[in-house]
Amino acid sequence: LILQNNSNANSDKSKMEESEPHLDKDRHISYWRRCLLTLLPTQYTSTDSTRMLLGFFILSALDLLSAGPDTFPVSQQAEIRAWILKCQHPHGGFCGSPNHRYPDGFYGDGEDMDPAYLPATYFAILNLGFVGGLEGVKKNECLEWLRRLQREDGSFGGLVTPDGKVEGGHDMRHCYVASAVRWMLRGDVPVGEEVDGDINVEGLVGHLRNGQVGQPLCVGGIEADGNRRTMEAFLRVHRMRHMVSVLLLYEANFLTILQLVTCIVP
Amino acid sequence: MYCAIASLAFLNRLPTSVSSSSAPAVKGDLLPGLTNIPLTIRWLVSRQVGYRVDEEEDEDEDPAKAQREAMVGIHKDKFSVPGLSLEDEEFVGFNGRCNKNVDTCYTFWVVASLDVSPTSH
Repeated sequence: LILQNNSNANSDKSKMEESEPHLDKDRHISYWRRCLLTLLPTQYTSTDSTRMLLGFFILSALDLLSAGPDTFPVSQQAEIRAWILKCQHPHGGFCGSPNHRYPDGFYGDGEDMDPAYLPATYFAILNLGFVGGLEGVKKNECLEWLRRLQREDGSFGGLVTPDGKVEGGHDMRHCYVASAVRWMLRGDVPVGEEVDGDINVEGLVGHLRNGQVGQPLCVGGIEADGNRRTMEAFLRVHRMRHMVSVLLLYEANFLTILQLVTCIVP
Repeated sequence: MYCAIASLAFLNRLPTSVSSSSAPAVKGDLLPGLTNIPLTIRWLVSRQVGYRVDEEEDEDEDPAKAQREAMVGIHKDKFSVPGLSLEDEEFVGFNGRCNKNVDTCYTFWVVASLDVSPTSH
């Protein structure tokens, strides 16, 4: 009877374990590898211009599953690196896909068509962190381009036209991404220290302050939701996980759009 | 909110501690990025909402139903009072604004904001 009871108990335990939700790690890894190594699933066709972001989803997901780029063959890491670097425009910013990168001679003094884009630049730099770091990045050009994305009110846009017009909407996400790109390329800048060619830090801080309302924060029209000197330091987990988080912000869904509208139009 | 707080962290404009209930200390005469950290933390923590899973309703739940209901002001979740024990079968999540339902992504944003914020909570 005891044996039978034990057997029943084990059986119940086994059934309970089967019914418990669990993370099927191997299948997740298999899915992300399939996305990395082959054509993306059909549903992603329309997102071809944001492959840099999708690349970060893939690399960071594999990293979180302990199957990240550091486990890839060296040749594969080099291929990924070359693909990312190929997306940097002569004026410093990155585009989200090689399809938006023409030969250097095309660009001249500015970028009329398919200009570099701030979020793509952010994800390109994060991706490079997975495959060897920032060597080969035109840092100075990128920081100069970043400075040109700042508006007089301190906020940032997503792109800049040849005549200097900043476009891409007033969006707090751009401020976050700009701050992150500056930090990754320039490192920690002590409070109050001025650096040649830097963004207008006080202008940006002022813009962030102005976003506070009585019930903090309704920031810049967005709903109130909710010297790092080396790349190794940058990849420390506690900061990396915040980097990953912004991805969700870019996953604008219907509800988010409605929430934005309800915030902008009280 | 997360983007604003995290931006200030990248700019080294979040104080390392809360020196007063209002304006936090910042080097020199520079203005602090956040004007009232305790109030900001309080707002974030107040996003905690208790909720109960209704299994019968879940069987044929329309995924967009909760969103539609939230849009017209119908909220099933009730506010959770910090420190009080939960009722049976009750869970706690976070919303993004007053009178909204809990949402996993808001839980992420709120906790991440608290993690970056310059104080224990």
